[in-house]
Amino acid sequence: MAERSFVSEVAQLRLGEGDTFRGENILAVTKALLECGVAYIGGYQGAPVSHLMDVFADAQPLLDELGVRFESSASEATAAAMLSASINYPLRGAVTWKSTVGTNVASDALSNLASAGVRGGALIILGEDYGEGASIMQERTHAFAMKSQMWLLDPRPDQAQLVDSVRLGFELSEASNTPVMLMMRIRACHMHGSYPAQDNVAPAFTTLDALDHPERDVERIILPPSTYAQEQQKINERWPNAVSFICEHQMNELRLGARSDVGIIVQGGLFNALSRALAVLGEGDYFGNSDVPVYVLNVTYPLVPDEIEDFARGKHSILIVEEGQPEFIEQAVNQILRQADIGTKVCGKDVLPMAGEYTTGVIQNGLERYLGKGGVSQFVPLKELPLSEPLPVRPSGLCTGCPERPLFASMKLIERELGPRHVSADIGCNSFATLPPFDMGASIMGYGLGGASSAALAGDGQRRAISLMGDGGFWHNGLTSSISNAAFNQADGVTVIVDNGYAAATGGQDIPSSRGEAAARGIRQSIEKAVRGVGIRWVRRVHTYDMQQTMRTLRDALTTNQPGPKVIVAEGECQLNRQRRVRPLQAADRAAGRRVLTERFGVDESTCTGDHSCIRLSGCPSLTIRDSSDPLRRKPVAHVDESCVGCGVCGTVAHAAVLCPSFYRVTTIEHPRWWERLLQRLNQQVLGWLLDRREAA
Amino acid sequence: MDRPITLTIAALGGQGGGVVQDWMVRLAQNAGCTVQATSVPGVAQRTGATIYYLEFWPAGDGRQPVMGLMPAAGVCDLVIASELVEAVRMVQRGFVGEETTLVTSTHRAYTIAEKSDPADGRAEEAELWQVLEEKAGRLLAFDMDAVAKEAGSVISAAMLGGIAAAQVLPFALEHFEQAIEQGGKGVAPSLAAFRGALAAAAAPRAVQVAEVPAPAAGDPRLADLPEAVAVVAGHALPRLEDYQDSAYVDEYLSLLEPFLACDADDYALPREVARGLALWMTFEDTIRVADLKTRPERLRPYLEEQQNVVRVTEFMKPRMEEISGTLPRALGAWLMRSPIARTLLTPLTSGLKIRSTSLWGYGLLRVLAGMKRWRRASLRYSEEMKEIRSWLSLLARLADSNPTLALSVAESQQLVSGYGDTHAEGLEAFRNITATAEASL
Repeated sequence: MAERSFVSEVAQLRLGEGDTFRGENILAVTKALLECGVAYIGGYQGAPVSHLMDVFADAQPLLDELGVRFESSASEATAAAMLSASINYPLRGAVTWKSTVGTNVASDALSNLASAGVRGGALIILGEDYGEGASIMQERTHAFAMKSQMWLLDPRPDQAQLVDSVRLGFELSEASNTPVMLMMRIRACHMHGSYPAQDNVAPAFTTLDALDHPERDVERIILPPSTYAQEQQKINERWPNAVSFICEHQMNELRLGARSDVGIIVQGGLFNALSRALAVLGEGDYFGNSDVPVYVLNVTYPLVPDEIEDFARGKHSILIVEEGQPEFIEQAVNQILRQADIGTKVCGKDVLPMAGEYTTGVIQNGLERYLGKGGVSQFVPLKELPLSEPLPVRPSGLCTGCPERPLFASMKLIERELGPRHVSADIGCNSFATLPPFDMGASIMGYGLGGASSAALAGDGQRRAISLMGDGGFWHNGLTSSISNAAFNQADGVTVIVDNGYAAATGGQDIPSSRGEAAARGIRQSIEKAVRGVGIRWVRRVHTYDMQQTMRTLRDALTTNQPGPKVIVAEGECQLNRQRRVRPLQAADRAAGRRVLTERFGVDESTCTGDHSCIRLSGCPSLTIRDSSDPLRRKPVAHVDESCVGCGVCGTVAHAAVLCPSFYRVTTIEHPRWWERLLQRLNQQVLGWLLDRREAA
Repeated sequence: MDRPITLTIAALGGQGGGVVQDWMVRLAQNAGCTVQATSVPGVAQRTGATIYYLEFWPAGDGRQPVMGLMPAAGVCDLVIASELVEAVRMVQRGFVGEETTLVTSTHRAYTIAEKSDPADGRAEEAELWQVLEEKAGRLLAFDMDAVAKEAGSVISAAMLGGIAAAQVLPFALEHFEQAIEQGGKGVAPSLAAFRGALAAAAAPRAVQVAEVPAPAAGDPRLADLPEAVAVVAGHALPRLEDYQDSAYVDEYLSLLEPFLACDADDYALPREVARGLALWMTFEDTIRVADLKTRPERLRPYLEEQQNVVRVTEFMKPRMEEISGTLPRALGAWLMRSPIARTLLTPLTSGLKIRSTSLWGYGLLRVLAGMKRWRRASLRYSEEMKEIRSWLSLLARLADSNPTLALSVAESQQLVSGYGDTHAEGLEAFRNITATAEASL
């Protein structure tokens, strides 16, 4: 069950010829796969491509009708290995994930796939998580294309162009027997647009057909001497075939302009930002035209030398607009022109920054320098505002009611008691513990690698590191790389696995230990059993909201004499998903006149002294501050706003940390039982009389 | 100019910026206007700041502008921010220029750093407003949060109202309302918030002045004080009377009296002493907490509830210090020393949840509050008074020799606040300051 429902998007997948598709680009790409007769689809969710997976996960009936196999892969490596079906069979397959992290995980299988070569089109749709909003280290997918000889499409983010790229991507893959990567940046994925829909095409040859007619070809196996031959094929056959296909189908676009002395070569994905920068500078219009000729690389690897030579020839200089580093394209263009003995000057990273996102403003700056417009103007963000303190930053944090909050508050309190610990963090919502107010976690090494990154710090039985891991990371990679590894090597650390029931950070997708209903998935697997199964003997389950139990267990794990790895499975359902699950049920109960109990928390202003220690131990978004109405107090007081979901952590923290008596809970029971109402009436009568008496006195 | 009209929406994760975007896309399509939109969701959306960006091409000439994908300085026609600091962030990012109509909410959603500050870490609002007024071509400001709450809706609907009120986009009000209706969810409250926003945006921005409740005048004892001090003491006197009794007020005034001669800087020192002394003398012991928790004005609203059953549960965790502090001095001191007695009382310190709307819970708290009459004999009282007297003695000695330091030491009283460990830490910091000041003499 993902965070939102994709029913209307699934309906869009059924559009046919004559209809207009309207929606996000990533969903248009999703639809385009079906129009291209894809036979199987897999992938691992992650921004910005999660929706592709989410929509297909909700579209099983349609996929069944078309005979398309869909998997929510266990990891990107699984998804990449899935593409091996296209090595021997004329099956079109597509997989997706967040890059470069996912590509890193997948790269073993990808290398082997690229070496073997494919018969059916193999398309890898990558969300290039670079620049603003990215949640990962900043690298380029381009390097993977170069090292494995896979082709990289970076299409102009126009919806029709993207849909076309999917079709051409499959064809290119088949024409050159090479897997093709199609990358889309964050904003391009989430851009709304429209395109004329086509009918869906059921695959002519399905995965079941493949099972009926098994085939093998020893030349496609990754063993010598085939591998030597495969490397030769890459260079001597597949590459030239790809270049001629790209050329023939004019995949790259030449946009002519009046000027003959200068020109710009741009990655397709950056075309819009470039075009806008030209327009703002008065060098072009807002419809993609400019006086400066532009060569748009919808395919950034391999390059087409003839096209580049033709574009550069006769020009004084050309500018390469290429985001990220190293500047692979700029180097390649230089080499192409030098070898062709063309003297055109190549500009690029000399006028544009080597690292960082190419926003419109950044490109504008570079253009000004390139076109000799002189000084760099107001287009850089104002680093310094006339403020006495820097503008407060707003880092991401755990949601209101998040079950991980009491876990980290417990860890914080145990740290106070037993001293600070080395904490290895992991990918997922739990990584927010590295930010204020918890400030715990010294490294993040990869999904499910929290435990593994404490391997060197296994300790001596006295000093113990704590490793964190989410349930998503656990099933992705953590069970083997972190838990089984610790058991095998008898590492003496403590690993906390957060069991919130979903891959929460990527949108609440189901994982093997999810507890809901999912007919098509084998869920409700026990993390605890899996952990015991790989040889961990010290395993405890705790409910994170029970901070006393959690603290007791943490203390025990850190101080026990028992050697070997200690694993704590910390359970608490993701609050976002819980609210999505519970709210409709509550609304139904309310409407039907059934008993509904809701809880909200509050802070008594009269007893709050404004030291904010409750906030420093929780950081709940609904726990905030406001002016004290007490004229003698200067400090703002704590305050629970209306977004409170009544998880109770603030009250529990106040208890566990011995903070203050200001927290109170208001329990409201709608449609109460008769004895509840009777008791309330009794209390009201007597207390009312007592209060009257006090007021009269 | 031959270019699309741009709209930038700066929101916080969870505020429904995506809903505003969807409304805008739908209403533009209804109005036959070419529209393109994008956003940067993902992890940033978990409570972080995020922006949505749209471009409109109303010409209807079939031409499709190449969408910029992100706001660009110099072509930001309309920028709307759901929170004050986010509006300033738009300025910081270069998205607010002379061509820009900036619509901002006047309310603040404090960041974690601002909230975590042990004192007051909030950004200076006057400065933020100065930036906005200086940079924005045109500025519209209203409290979107208040508008939304009043309408029983969420902030996204108030933002849509702000977009309409700016009148930068070529859409009629009907288009906006139609888009809300087509959205299908919570239509009535959304419409109410939308219309509330239109009205609020039309009104001039109310400059917020912190309201200081007027002191209870009429206490004849105030007449003897210099006027500047009387303003503070006017708040202090009823508080002390309420805390203990009339004699306590006299005690306060006599402790304050020696400082009244220090008239420098409009009686800065006696004003600060009057404030700090009042707060300190009304320290929050268990008696005080029990009393505040059972005030009629606090409990009445819950007791008047007819429809539903409503219960209020207090979360209290007294430490042994609080329990012994409430007892008579000798008994309390013995308790702190006696391991057996402490063991017997341990269950009380493991955390109490007291239902103050139940007969039992209310009764318990009232019994505790009733111990007020013996407060002067309690261990806590004697300890606090000892600290207060040594603070005042230090201040008296500093007042002549080093008035600046005296004022700082007087202000540092605010470190002594809170409960439990926080109180202990604050007290330690306070003691360090007084010790340093003492050494300077």
